[in-house]
Amino acid sequence: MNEQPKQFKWVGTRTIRPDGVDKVTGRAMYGADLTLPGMLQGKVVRSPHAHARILSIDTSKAEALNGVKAVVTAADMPEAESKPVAAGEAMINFRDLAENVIARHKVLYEGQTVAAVAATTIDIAEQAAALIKVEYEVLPHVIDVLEAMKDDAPLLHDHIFTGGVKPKPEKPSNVANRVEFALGDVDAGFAAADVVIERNFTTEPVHQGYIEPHAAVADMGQDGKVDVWCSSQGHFMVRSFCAGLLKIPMSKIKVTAAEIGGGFGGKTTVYLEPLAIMLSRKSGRPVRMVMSREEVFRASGPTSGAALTVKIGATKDGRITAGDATLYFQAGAFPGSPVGPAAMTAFAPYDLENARVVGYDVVSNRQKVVAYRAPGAPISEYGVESIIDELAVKLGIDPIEFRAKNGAKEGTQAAYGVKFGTIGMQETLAAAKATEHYKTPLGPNQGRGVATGFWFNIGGESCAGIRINEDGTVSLTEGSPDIGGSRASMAIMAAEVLGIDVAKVKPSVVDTDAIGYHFVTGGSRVTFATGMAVVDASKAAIDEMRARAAKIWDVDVDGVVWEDGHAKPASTNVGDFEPMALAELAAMANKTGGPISGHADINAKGAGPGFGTHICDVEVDPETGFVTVLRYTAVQDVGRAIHPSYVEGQLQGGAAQGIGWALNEAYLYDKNGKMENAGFLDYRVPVASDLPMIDAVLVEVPNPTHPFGVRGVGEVPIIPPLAAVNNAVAAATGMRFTALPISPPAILASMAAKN
Amino acid sequence: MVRVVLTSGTAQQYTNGKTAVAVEASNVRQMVKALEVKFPGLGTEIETAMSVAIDGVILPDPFLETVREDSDIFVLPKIGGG
Repeated sequence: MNEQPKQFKWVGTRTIRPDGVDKVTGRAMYGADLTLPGMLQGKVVRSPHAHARILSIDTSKAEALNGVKAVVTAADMPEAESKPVAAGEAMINFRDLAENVIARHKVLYEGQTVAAVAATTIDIAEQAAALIKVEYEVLPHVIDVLEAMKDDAPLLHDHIFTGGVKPKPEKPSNVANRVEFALGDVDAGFAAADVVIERNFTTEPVHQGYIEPHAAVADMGQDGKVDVWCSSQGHFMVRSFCAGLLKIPMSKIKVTAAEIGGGFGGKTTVYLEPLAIMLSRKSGRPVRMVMSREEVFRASGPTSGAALTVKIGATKDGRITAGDATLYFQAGAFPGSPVGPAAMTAFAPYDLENARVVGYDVVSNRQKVVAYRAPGAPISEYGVESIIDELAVKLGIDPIEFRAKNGAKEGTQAAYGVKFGTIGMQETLAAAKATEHYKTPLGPNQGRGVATGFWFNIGGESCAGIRINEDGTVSLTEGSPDIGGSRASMAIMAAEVLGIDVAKVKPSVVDTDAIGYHFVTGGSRVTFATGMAVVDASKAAIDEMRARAAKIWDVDVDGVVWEDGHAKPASTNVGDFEPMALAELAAMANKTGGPISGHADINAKGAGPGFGTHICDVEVDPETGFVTVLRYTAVQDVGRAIHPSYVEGQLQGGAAQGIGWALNEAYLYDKNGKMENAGFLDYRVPVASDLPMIDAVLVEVPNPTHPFGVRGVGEVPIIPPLAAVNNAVAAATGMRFTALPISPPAILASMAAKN
Repeated sequence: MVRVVLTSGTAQQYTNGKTAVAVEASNVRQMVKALEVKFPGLGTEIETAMSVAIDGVILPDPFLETVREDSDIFVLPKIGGG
């Protein structure tokens, strides 16, 4: 267990989460749970083709069906302007967002929305959907990223000319953008190396795998005001996007974030919400829309599949002299893959003089890429960490020592340019090396792999409100959908600052009318940024309570301090007054000026980057190629663990997702570009029985810019597992794999080739 | 004058490969305007798609922050997350 020395009363403790009882008793309200009087059920009509022109849509038979109250197509949505908007990890074009919500002229992947229906029952809605006749002109399609880059590849868009190159190309292309980050002179660096290893790797698209499908309810009144309830990582994002897509003033849209059953980045955009609003507007009734599991796979965005070439050189005593990588990332139907952050993070764990990463953002006929936990970084760092391991083995150097020798420290300039401040890369390596796991001997057909990972973490806009209730309890309001236990951490931070029992603080995630704008829950930002707002709001409430005590004592407010939940005289000079507890001041609030509260609206800066080191032990069955994960340890610099259980949970969850990505998961397409494994039976994510308990080791190197030293933790842990597993399988089998997933057929094929 | 460091990719696009450029400015807004004048398109790119890091702190929506002659200023793509 990660128990730290007592420095705080509540920070670092394992309080009961405020949403726990509701979730385990079924009382928690998720996006699909809301029922409103007269509510209709919505159903989407989706393209059966990977690439086709829409020639016509005939909705007449559907509209005539008894029970159908509205049918919408792109004609019911205003044409969107071409402008960049932030969406998860990348800037995307608003027009592309609109096309992804509902296709206007072309469909670009199997599953893309073409029309939607609202009816009195889901059965009628499904019947109506089947009656909508869409005439297509089927076009050739391309999915593989390298195939899509070829000159003779089917062209998805005739308005994309590769950005980031000079001169601007004359012909349109599927290559939307080129990015480059470079430091020093890689050619000179390789010339100085004693050993150089270069390999090509491939990864497949993988889905975020949230258990709860997308769900939304929209209810538009006759005055044009609309209420939306949805499963989302950002209800302010939902409001912004729906307002822009449907040309509705933001003040007329109120969005409530329901409890969420996972997001991992996949719910940082909109799919159903604009459709539900359109159907509600047309029918005059509330409309609920819920994706089936199959629709989640076919119609929401997995991350990129990729091809990458990585080359690293080192001296014989283990000093890396140069690193070079070229990344080719699928963006899906529209530009905007995470190739940029992938390029920036690839070599970030290391202190290099010479590094270069070039990345290409490539459209192809598959679902539009959406953010997935540390977008891009698992892919690029998989290639880099695999070669780092190979170099360490070749040079006979312990893999953790090799990384420590080259690891980033305070003052290191990252390949993407920024100089690191206080970071915990070396500390996580040392902690990993010191684990009992790392010293445990292995048996036959078993191997151990190590890998590190880096993620920037972000801050951004957050707000918080502290209201002191008349009985001395506290209502804490904020607007970050809780995807990882953040409400518990908010209450802990408020209680710590206010000096009261955390049980007296009730945290709530409120709707878009009740608090100021929040950026999405993502980027590992909430405990950092919203936590900062909670601290500021608590301090503002304290200032108000000091002022009230000053009034009661008839002294200057500078003579009042706040300690342990009490207003006290700053010194005996102020006067002989008994300390006044928060509850006492609350009881007198009406007499001293009215309700007591504090609030803060911030754009948090100074998010501290995170580093992790993972150790993975596997056993590979030589007859079946089956890989069993025997033991797994995830070590991470977490800044300060406000609630250690939820931080440990982030490490465990990220590791589980990364293991699935390495061993099992992939989108499989048939020759027509249709997904063949659109369900959890055939798209195999790890379940509890697949994995051992993942040991989470929390290293605390506090982030100096946060009042409690918080660093974001949610994204780093998905990065190391891909290479940690890859390196472990290599150690167990004596064979290096360069394609994910490392499934049993792949292992058996390599074994057969070797023999 | 403040010294602004660009990624090599941005430099290739807008400054003929020069990764370190200098302009007169006392805050980010002035810096971006001056960069747009000196290297057309660069200021717009920074405003729409990039963050600015000042002395190691990445600012997602930089506008009024002070920049000084000895500031360590770096322009990089906006970072989000999942």
